[in-house]
Amino acid sequence: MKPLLLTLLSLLAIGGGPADGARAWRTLAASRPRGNADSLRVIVRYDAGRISVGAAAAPLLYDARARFDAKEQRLSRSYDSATHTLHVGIDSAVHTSGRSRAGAREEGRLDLGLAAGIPLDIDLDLGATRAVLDLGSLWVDAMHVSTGATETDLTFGSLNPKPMRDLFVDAGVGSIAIHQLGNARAQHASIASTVGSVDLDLGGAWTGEMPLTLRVALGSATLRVPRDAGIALRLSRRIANVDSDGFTERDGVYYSTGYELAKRHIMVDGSATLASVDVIWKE
Amino acid sequence: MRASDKVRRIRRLAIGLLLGAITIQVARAQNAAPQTGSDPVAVTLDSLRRDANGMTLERAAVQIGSRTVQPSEHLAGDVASYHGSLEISGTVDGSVAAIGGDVVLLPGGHVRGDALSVGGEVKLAGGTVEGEMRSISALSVGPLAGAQLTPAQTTRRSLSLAVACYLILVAMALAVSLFARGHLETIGSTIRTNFSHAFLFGVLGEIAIVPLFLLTVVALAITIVGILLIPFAAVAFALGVMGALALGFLAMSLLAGDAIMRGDTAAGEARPVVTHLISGLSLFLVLWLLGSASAYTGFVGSVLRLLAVLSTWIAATVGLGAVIITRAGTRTVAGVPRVPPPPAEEYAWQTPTPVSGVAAARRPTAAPRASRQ
Repeated sequence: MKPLLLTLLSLLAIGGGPADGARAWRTLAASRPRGNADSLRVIVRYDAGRISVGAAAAPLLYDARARFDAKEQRLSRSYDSATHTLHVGIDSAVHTSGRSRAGAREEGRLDLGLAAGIPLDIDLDLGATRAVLDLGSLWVDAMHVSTGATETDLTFGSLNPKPMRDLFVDAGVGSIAIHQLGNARAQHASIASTVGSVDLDLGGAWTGEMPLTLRVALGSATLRVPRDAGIALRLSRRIANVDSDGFTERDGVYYSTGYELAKRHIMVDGSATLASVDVIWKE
Repeated sequence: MRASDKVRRIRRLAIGLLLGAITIQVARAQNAAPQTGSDPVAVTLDSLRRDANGMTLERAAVQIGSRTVQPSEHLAGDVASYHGSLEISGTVDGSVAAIGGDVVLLPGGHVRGDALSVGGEVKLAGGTVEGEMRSISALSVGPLAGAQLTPAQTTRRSLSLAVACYLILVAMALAVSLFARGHLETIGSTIRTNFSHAFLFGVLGEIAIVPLFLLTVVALAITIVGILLIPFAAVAFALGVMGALALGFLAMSLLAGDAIMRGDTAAGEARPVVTHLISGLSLFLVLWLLGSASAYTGFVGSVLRLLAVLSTWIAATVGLGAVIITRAGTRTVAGVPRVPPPPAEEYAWQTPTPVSGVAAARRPTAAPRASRQ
């Protein structure tokens, strides 16, 4: 067994050297004056860390500030002035240890400020992140958010200057909370959650109709509905519980009391699979 | 020459070959690392060009130390300073960069391209930048860990992985030989007598893993309350599968060890299970080390890696099949002799009796009591 032990020790010396656990933190600040840009398309791919999106200071088209571990992550950023498209991406290495990834997630961050006053088309692809998206004071024309294992907080703090063409949120695993969704003035909103919780606050200064598609599986959805709004639920249920107390069923659609008399209406379509859907009235 | 001497000689030869191959490959892989030049400015500009947030600059655009663009100046190309700040009061049609310093846009200063500072800041003190203002704390060029490894890193990683797996399996082998030796022997006997049967069950077992897992999840989810148990069930399921695979693989390793060490055990002598287990595992280790070390030898390396993968898969599959057939070694199958548990101290007086016949030792009896005398 002696030669075998010697071999093992040699191999350990070759391959099992002390792991360098030190991080190589880098910071990046990148901003661009708005110039003659009349719109901005933003594509963000961020797979581990904290991310925030908000408004940038007045003369800037965008203002990105990032902190990342250069040993485990690679940050790329580019702007195409012809199409007014900004790409920001932080990719983590393929073979990173769980501890390294957790460290990058806890300490790495990306703060993205976007120009107010021009239509924004925002496309976020988030991995294992904590995301705080405060879109108040921004003009969001379209928004797509796809998340992996994420804790997402999306706020429409003020009324969108013009109706949003499309709002699409696809949450994989984790929790997502959307505040003042009504302020988005989305012509169509689609919210999906595969595993986890969805908290939708349908408040905001909106009028008319709000069409909403909701798909929840293996989790729960809470709809916070303003008192003066009427809500109709048309959900296909598969082993799911939908809180329909006080609702009246007509042709498979559950209408809240006084739906017809309400000033504004929310029509919720979609499905609930192995999930619960609750409606909470808010003042 | 005794059989055991022959085995030892072959083992030494294999180890020598292995170490030689590893040394050559590691040296070759390390030599494949890119060479860098000796001019620090050129090296930095090369890094700056390769950095995703960097910039491509000509060497002629860089001035060592601080630099100022006067109000009367109108420069057509890029302007950069190295280890010093860059102050702009005039107009630059290209981009500006300060490596190891600040870029300061003074009143009247105008840059049509981008402004970049490495290790400093881009400061607007009355001037303007048409392009992007960018400051990075340091360059972050080079391959990401694991994304694009150099040959040396790949080789080291593969070798480390093989050795780490081996050490884990050795630890498991010690535990199994101490606490579940009877189960291991039963599984080994089943493999020996029903190899093809075990292989078939192993393949079926591997195919059934994912559907079985999904079925478990759905069954738990249906109960609603069971949803909470899904993470625990997933972990338990994964542990169960890995445990079954490991137990089966160890049984196969024991058989391999038996084959290697056949000449080392005298007739009638109880074989040292731990030694045989480790020998069997070492055989697989040698295959993997050869495969890892020859990662950059083209066809030969591919064949060796394929051999390692194939042999390990067959061993794991047959082992898993035998684990399934014997319910983790708790029951025997027809035609397979039941393996007795390891001898306890109570039966130590018993002597193995081969066919040729050996006179049994006398069973120890209790000393006669005084009252009987």
